[in-house]
Amino acid sequence: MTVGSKLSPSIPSWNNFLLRTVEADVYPDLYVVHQNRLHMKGIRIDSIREIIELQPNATAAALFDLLRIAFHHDWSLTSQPPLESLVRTICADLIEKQISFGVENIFSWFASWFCLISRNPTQLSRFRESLGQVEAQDWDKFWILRGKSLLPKPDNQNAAFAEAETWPNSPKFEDSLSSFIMGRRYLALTSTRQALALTPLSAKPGDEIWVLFNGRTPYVLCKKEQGYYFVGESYLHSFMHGELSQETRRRELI
Amino acid sequence: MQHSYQPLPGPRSIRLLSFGPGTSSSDLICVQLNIVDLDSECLPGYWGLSYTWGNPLPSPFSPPTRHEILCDGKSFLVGSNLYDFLKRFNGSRRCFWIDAICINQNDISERNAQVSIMVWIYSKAEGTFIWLGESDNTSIRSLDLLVKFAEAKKRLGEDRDKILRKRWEFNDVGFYAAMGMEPWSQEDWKALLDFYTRSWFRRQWVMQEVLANDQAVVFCGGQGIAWPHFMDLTQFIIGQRWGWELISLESRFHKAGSPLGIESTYHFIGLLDRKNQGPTKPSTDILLGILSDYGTYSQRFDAFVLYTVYRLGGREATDPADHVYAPLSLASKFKREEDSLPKVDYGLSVIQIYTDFSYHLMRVPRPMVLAFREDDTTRKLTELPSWVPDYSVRYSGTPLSMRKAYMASGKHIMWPDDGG
Repeated sequence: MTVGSKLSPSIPSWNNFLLRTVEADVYPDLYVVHQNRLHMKGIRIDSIREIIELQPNATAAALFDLLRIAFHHDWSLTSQPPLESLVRTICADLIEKQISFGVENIFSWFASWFCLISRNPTQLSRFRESLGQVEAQDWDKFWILRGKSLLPKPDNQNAAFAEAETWPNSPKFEDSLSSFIMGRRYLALTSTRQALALTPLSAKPGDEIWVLFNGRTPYVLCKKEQGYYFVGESYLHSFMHGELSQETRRRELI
Repeated sequence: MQHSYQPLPGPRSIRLLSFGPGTSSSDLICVQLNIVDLDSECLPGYWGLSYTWGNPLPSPFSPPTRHEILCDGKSFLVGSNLYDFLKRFNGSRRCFWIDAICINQNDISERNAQVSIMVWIYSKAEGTFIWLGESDNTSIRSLDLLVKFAEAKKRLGEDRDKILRKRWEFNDVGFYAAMGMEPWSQEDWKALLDFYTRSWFRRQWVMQEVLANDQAVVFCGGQGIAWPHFMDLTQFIIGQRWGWELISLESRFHKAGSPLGIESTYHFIGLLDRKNQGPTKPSTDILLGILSDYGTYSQRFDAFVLYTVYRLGGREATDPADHVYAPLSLASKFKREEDSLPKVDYGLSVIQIYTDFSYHLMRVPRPMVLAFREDDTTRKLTELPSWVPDYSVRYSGTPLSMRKAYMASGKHIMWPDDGG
């Protein structure tokens, strides 16, 4: 299992690490507690670059923050369109599990939310400028959710407004959002892979995201002088089904 | 003369309390303790008392008053709530097991040993005797309502399930008509709300005290009701989701931020169907998500222990160690020879107890214990190692790791003996 040296430096290597002190590789087991410090193996996936709070009653500015992070994340990590990745991350991809709401409802709530702000031409163009250089085709692709563009058609502004009115109204959406995010969490963008993540409230930029051996979810750890401080569990979009270990295994064979 | 305990002769010996004849020289309540063995064939019938050590009402200001009684003829001090109980049932011919008197609380090793067999003490009893405290106007009214509802339910014919399962608006006139009851007033519901906020409902130990035995009676002052009848109305209110309607009757509970008894009671119900099944037959809830990975009973037992602490933990306890020890006590009922549980040791610091317990449960694969580590903003014990959950805080929500769908580290579970 100690294959660290065979991997290229950009790929995180299997490491022994301690959640409080880093010591030599003296523990053969998967985990050992020594002087109340947990020693266990894991792999560092990435670190947190940016973090924003998810608020059910978000202001327009906060919503644009969400969209900006969705735009800047690496779209190629999944085959999903970027907005779908954003929606799934916010719901920790439990969309199918929210039986009482229904998948289509969830998407249409989010759609109406994004739609309402994309119907304001001034805000929209300001947002586009804030993203820097944006290819027209990326811009169009970005606004597609469930096969439908959320951008108003330039020749028919009024019709577009009328259409936005038909989306379910947002107060209901806010209610359901607070139940999706299951307590207050942060939406985060990671540094190297530019993946979307949900992290605990106490996570901050610079904290690292690790997959620990056997762990169902990645965990957020904070590197301190004496070792790693355990922050909590997290959701990392497109890394929840063992993608990482497959990747490492594949590399190993080369 | 101060009372002194006779040592317990065996690991499963307990002391039983009975009311003794009063001495002519004093008006004090007299009790006596008899040592018996739990496994003895001539174990006398007794009731396990379930009560709160502190104030039975949710008042933040309760000066700890102690009252004197005579135990085996010697002076003994008890808290007010227990004193109220003893006063109420003085002269009863029933025997009781009462932790504050029957365990020598000053002897840590005896306390450790008795807590380890606590679940047996309650399950070998004739039943659990729930003492909610002395009565007041609201409790008298509430018990009347509980009885009324239970009687009305009994009277219902074939459509009983149809009527009870139908979703009713809060305080719907049609509901009273269907039940064949006079409508209840706002004051009635407010009384019930007060009743459900009694401290007993939020205590850590009561869960295992009730779950350990099939028989239970609920007493408030001199009024009592059998547990199933108490649950009739309680379960109905929860099923109808009327809890929040109740709370909105009285905004002060919002301000106090005190968790309602009825919500705590909800967690009983989730466990009631599982109480005699343990890890073998999980019911259809999230426990299945944890258990799906395990083959052997021992592995399932470890997961069950973790689950019990998750569902029962974080309630009110005088000693923070009980946030772990009370759920452990319930789980110990399902323990076999080859399964292991951490030893009860009140001599250790809370930090050490929580850390050792977490280490023990690292045996549950998919490091589930780590998932229960709550956010820093809700942690109370700041000196805990960062990877150890704070069991004194109730975990709200469901950890992501409980979802079977996630397998960030791959499908295959590595067991410790697979090597590093």
